[in-house]
Amino acid sequence: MTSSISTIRQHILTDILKDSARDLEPDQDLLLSGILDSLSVMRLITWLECEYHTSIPAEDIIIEHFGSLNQIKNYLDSRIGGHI
Amino acid sequence: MTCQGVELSYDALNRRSNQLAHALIENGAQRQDRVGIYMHKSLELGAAIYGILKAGCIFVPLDTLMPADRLSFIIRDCGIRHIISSNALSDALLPINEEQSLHVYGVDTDNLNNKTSWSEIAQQPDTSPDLPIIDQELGYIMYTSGSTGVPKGMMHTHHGSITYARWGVEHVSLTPGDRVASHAPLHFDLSIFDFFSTAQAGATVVLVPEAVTRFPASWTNTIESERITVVFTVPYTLITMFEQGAMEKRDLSSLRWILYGGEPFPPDMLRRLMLTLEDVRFTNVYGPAEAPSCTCYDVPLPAEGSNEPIPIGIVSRNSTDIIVDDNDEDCAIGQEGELCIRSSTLMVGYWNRPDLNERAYLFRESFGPFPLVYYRTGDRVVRQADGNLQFIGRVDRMVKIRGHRVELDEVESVLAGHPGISEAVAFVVPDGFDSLKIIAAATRPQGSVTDEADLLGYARKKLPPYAMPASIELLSALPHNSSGKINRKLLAEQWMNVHQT
Repeated sequence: MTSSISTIRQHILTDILKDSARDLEPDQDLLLSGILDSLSVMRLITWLECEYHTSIPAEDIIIEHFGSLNQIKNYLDSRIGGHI
Repeated sequence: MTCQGVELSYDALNRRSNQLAHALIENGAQRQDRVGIYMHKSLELGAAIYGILKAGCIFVPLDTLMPADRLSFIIRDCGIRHIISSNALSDALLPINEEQSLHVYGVDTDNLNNKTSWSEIAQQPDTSPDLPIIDQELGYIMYTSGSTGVPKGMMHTHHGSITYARWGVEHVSLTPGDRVASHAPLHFDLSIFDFFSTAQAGATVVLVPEAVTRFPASWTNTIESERITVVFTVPYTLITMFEQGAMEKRDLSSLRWILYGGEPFPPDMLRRLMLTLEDVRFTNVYGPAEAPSCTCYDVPLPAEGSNEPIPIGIVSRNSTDIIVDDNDEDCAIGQEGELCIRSSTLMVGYWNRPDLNERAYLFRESFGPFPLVYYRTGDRVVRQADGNLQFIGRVDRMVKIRGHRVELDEVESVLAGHPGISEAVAFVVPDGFDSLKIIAAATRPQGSVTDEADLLGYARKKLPPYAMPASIELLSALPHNSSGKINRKLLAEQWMNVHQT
């Protein structure tokens, strides 16, 4: 199983930001562009844990893992043993 | 000063600031002109602050996350013509530049005409322009939420900021060995402590990138790797650090003092944090951005299971206070009233807002021709028998959202400005992290098809992210209480009943 950038993107735009028309590139900085703030990071984590049946330890919730869609995918795939 | 592993000595910072000051003067910046700072945390940010001051100008921090309309409003409101920015951010300035010509520094992008790059600035002399600046001139203007739908700019003098900075140095005994986190964004008044107290002590300012501050574990990693000794922040940051920062996995032994302010700290949570960081001293600092750090309280360990709110303490040096009732008469000890502050850190008014300035101050007679000037904080307090002040609540509808000041009236006024909305209200509910979130409700005129997404999209163009409602409910009518006012309390209760999990 692997995570899907488009599913995560859709969740961020539709459920967290409620702005589905917005552009969101895989490498775009989610924090500096104001798409995520500290509260929505926590909501995203909760959703990811549920969606991908994994638990994300607190020490892993760092900018290097959640700064962009690509980083989120890479981190999750390493976590859930992603291979196609 | 250090940022992401790169260091800048105070000598180098001084020379770089001198060069920027010369560049500003050469391009026509006049003494007391307002100069914007629209930058992410970087070493250039330090040069921007001091360069603007050395040119005799006033720095105006501009939140990099604010929507275009708000940015444009502030630039026009205080007449900014020079602005320090970066290539990464300067696109946001293009539409404004079409209406009002801006000279942008720190960029070398093709799409701006009037610009000066850092490499051009480096060609300027690195000696001080040595202007005869006096301490009663303005040093910075900071914008905050205003109840009428537009932000208001608080004008601060050099004198006020130096008093604030010295208070910081003395209160936590800063020395050159200290490493102080610049955690708050520049448009937060905590940043004055971070930059100026630290510089006065010859200590190191550790600039923490904005994105790091959103991740509790990145933040604790930074404290460990940067050997941070002093932090001034808001309770929300400390609570999330405690709950999600994996503190037990980090060596945080460098920390010696935590100052916090902006909103009350739940005592039981504070107790748990203090027991975890047992060698760290904690100070509750109180002071609206109009009168920073005017009172403080060194917090002893709260008793187990205590719900007793933490006092905001007693006035700091160079400050004095009175508590007044509805008729502006002094309150007795134990009697609740509005806290009014006279302090050297007090702002000298809101920029270009005589209407607000008239209401902001309370005057008392003095010996000479000038009255004593007190700032009306809008905070209801009571003086305890031991002299400490206890915060009770607000006289108006200002709320704190994770440390950010938000006027709910501003949120309502923005929402009601949408043509497809007849009436809008905003209220707060707990956010599950010991702070609050904003919920709005609105009604539509006959035939309006405006939905929640339209309204959120509209508000996003006007309000900063922290002031955005988490959700907006469209109702057929708003409940009113017996006096005919909209019953916001009932709306908040109903919302919580439906959404309680």
